[in-house]
Order: sequence, then C-alpha cells, then structure tokens
Amino acid sequence: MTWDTSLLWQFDILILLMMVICAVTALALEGLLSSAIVTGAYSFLICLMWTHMRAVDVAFTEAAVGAAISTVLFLGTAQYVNRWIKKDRPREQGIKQITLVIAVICAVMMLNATRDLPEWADPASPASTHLSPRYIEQAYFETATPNVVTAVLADYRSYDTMFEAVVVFAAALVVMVVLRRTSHKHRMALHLRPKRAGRDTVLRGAAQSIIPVMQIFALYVLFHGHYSPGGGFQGGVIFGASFILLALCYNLKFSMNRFREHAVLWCCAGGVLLYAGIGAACLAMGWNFLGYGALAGVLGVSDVMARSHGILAVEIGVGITVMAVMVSLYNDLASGGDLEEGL
Amino acid sequence: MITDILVIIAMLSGLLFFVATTVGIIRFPDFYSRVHAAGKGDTLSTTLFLGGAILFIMRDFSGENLLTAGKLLLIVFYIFIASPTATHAIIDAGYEFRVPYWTRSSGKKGTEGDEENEENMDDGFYPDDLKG
Amino acid sequence: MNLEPFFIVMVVAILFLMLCNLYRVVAGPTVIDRMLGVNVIGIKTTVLIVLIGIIDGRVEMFIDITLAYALLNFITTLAAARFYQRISHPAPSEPEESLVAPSAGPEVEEVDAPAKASDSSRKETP
Repeated sequence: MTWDTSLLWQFDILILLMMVICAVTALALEGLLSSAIVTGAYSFLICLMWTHMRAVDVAFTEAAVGAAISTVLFLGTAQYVNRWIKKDRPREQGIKQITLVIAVICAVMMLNATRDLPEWADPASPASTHLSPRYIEQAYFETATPNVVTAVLADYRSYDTMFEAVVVFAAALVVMVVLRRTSHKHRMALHLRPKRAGRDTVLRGAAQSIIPVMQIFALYVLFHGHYSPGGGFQGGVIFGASFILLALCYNLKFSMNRFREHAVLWCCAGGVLLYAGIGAACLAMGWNFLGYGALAGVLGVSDVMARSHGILAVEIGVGITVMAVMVSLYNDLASGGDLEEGL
Repeated sequence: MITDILVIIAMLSGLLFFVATTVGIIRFPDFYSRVHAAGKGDTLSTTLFLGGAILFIMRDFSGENLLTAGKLLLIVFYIFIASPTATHAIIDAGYEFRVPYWTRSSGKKGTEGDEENEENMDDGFYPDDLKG
Repeated sequence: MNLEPFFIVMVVAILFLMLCNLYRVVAGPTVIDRMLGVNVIGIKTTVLIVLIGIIDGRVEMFIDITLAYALLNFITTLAAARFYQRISHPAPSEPEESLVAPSAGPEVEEVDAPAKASDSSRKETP
C-alpha cells in the first residue's frame, strides 16, 4: 500500500471543515468576546494548514501572533467597549443585507476564478517559473543564508520588510495617540476596580520558570533565522509576549518597571531607525539603498558574507521594533491608556 | 523493532487519553468537571505523544537528532508547566466569577430537587457576562 | 518497520478529536467553556505539528513552532482568566488613589507592598 504523504486529502478536508465551522460560528455569535476566542481556534487551524503546506515561516508567525498576542489584545480591549452586538435595528439590518449580497457576489466571482489557479505545487505555474527558481538556486551563493525565506524577506525584498516594520511602528503610534492619557485627570469607570498585586503564587511560579526560557528562545529564533524558520518578526513577538506574560502574572506596574515606557518608545523607533540607517549607510557608500554589499569594507568580509550580516542586522531592527510595539500595544489597550492597571 | 513497538504503545495510549479528554469535554455537565477532564487528560496524552516522538527520533542516533530530542523534552517540560497553570487560572476565574456548579438536582431539571435548586442549566443559569 | 501509515492514522484521528472538541467551542454555553475548547485544540495542534514533521522527515524544521506553542499557548487562557477575575469583582465605591501613591521611582513594587500586605499577608518572593 502506498501513501501519498505530500497531499493528505483527509487532512485538508478535515481542517477546511473545521475552519468553515469556526468562521461561521465567529460570525453568528452575539458576544464579541466569544467571536474573538473562536477566531483563536481559527488561528490554530490555519497554522496547521500552513504547516501542512510546508510554509513553515508563515506558520511560525501565525503561531506566535495567534497564540500569544491577538486574543490577549482583544481581551484587553473588551474591558472598555460594549461587548455585545445589538440586534433589531432596522437600518443596520438593511445595510447587513446589502453586505450579504455583495459578499455572495464576490464569493461567486472568486470561486469562478479558482478554476484558473494552477494546481497545488505545480512546477509549471507562473509563480514557480519566473523569480522563484532564481531565488532558490542563487540565494545561498549570493547571501550565504540557507533559509531562502529569510534571504528573500530581508535582502531581495527588504523594501517591503522595512515598510512593514514602519507600519507596525505606526500602529503602536496611532494606538498611543488615541488612547494614552495622563493617569490622574481622566479616570474611566473601570478603574474603580480593585487593584491586583499578583497574588497568585502558582501563576508567579509558572512565570518565573517560563519567562527566562521564553526570552532566550526569542533570541534564538531571531538569530537562528538564517538557518531555520523564524526571524526578526517571530522573535520580536515572542519577546514581547514574555513581557505580556509578566504583566498578566504579576501586574502591569511590575512589568512596566522592568521595561519602562520611555524605553519601549525608544525601542519602537530605534528598530525602524536601525533598519533605515543601515539602508542609508549603504546609500552613503555608493551602493543602492539597503544594498548590504556596501558593508563589506566596513566589516572586513566578502560581499556575500556582508549580505548575510546585513540581513542579520536588519532582522535585529525588525525584532526590536516588533517587541516594543507588542508591549506598547498591550500596555495601552489593556490599561485603557493610563498605564495604571492592566488585565 | 522494540522501539517501534514502544512508540506505537505510547502513541496509542496518548490517543486513548485524548479520546477520554474529548468525551469529558463534550459530556461533562458543568464547567469545573470539563476543566478537570481537559487539564489532566491533555497534559498526560501530550506527554505520551511527544515521548513517542522522542523515541522515534532517537532510533537513529546522531547529534542533530539529539538536539531535536532535547527540544522535544523541553516542550514536554514546558507543556507540563504551562497546561496545568492555564487550567488553574481558568478554574480560579470561574470560581471567582461564581460559575454555577452542577448538582444532581440541578441536572435533573427539578424533578426531584428542592425548590431553590429547581432552576435548570438552560435559562438564567449562567451569569450574563459569560454568555454569548 | 515502516511507521508512516501509523503516524498518518494518528494525525487523522487527532483531527477527528479536534472536530469533536470544536463542539465545545461552538456550542459552549459560556465564554470560559469556549476558551477551554480552544486551549485543548491548541494542545492538539502542538502534537499534530510534531507528527507532521515526523511524517515529512524534517522534524527539526517544525520543532521551533511547537516550542513556541508550548511556551505561548497558555497566555491567551491566562488573559481570559484575568479578564473574568477583573470584571467579577465589584468596584469599590472610592478609588484607592490616596492609599497607593503613584511614585515615579523604580521602587513602585516596594511602595505597593504595604498596601498589598494589608489585604494579603503574602510576602514578595524574589
């Protein structure tokens, strides 16, 4: 009996079925919190799907963000907003029906378009014939980076990655501009709730044993991104999650004493600045923007190794920014902006 | 050969505990007993599965496989810490939130129960903040 | 002995169990029940990723994802628990700002300590 392990259709069918169930449930539920939690289940399933498709880097990102950050941010926000969908408003019902019609039309068009898509893992498809062969064949010899995804992300398409880092930075900035307020003047209603000083011994013990490993693992993911799945974004998310865990197991004040707001903001901006600064340094030395080969003279290595080192430096920049942005988003959203008391 | 049989035994017993967990999560009547099923069964069966994986990887011994097995051991260790901690935290929250617990009279929907226990599990049983 | 069919059967069986657990996520009467279901699905995901890696013969590629899940998976559950602990306590009528002075120094934890010791005599363990 032969088993075609590259395409387990049972696996695909089951995961797709569960994803559809999750999506429909998340739409049908009335409580926003339940929807957020069902979306967490969806995140696990999509991570499995990507693992099954061998898109390991994407699966890693989904694992880090979906397991640690997104639902926590939803929960932190849910303290301050209305958590229920109000029904029976005729005007909104009309809008919803129009939206439904538009969504159905779009779905039909997209389903129609799927017939033109190439077969899964088709080597003759356009995506696999133009640029991918060059990346796969040349990336190691041009950048000395075995993980092609890292090479493409931080070298060949580093403009993309730089502006992604800028977008993440802008997200933290916007949340801060909208929510951040001084602690004494405008007190929201929920801040009359009792202060919690990390009274749970079990949680504190778990945090003490897990957080150091988490931080070391985050650094490993960041610096090992050349050789295995991972990189700046995943490492940064895991490092930020360690501070979020500290805030959950102790309290927000405790974690903010370890990582102060000024430091968070400096890290937010500093990572992007490091990224752009490396690009500008390359430009100043007569190469293209973010052409890491320019660093060869400074570092005293060959062009190829200079590109590898440039990728590493850029990943560190991304990691610092993402880490600080995650901590900043959690601090602002979970405390309602006054950084007094988090979840 | 013996290693293979050990792998199969470990994974099958892990699957057994997964099945037990699933049955518990679906069939148990209230929140506390469900958490109990999930917390115990899942931790043990994950340990068994990953132990089987460690045995399978260590069949052909090499440095790289040793590293992978070490990471798997680390995973087992931290799941062993993290999963019961999560269970503890969530059951603590449920207790402080006064999630109602199941009693025989509340489960039978008032056929034999006292007057004050007659409210059943359907309506008004859970606090409003938890529903939805 | 070729164990690959066995692993594939295991993967599909665990997926079926995940489908069953999804019932609790979909139908669970309370939010914490849904949370519990998601937690269980997450643990099964951890196992599944390792099994897929073994079937592929490249476990070392997938192991980091599993480690990330093992370390991060309980943060969401913890946050949900904290959320319900927070909203379950009724708000005191007076804000306790006068008791706990906001201090700018790095010893906020120590400044908080007397107020904390008043309600629970537990000491801060370093």
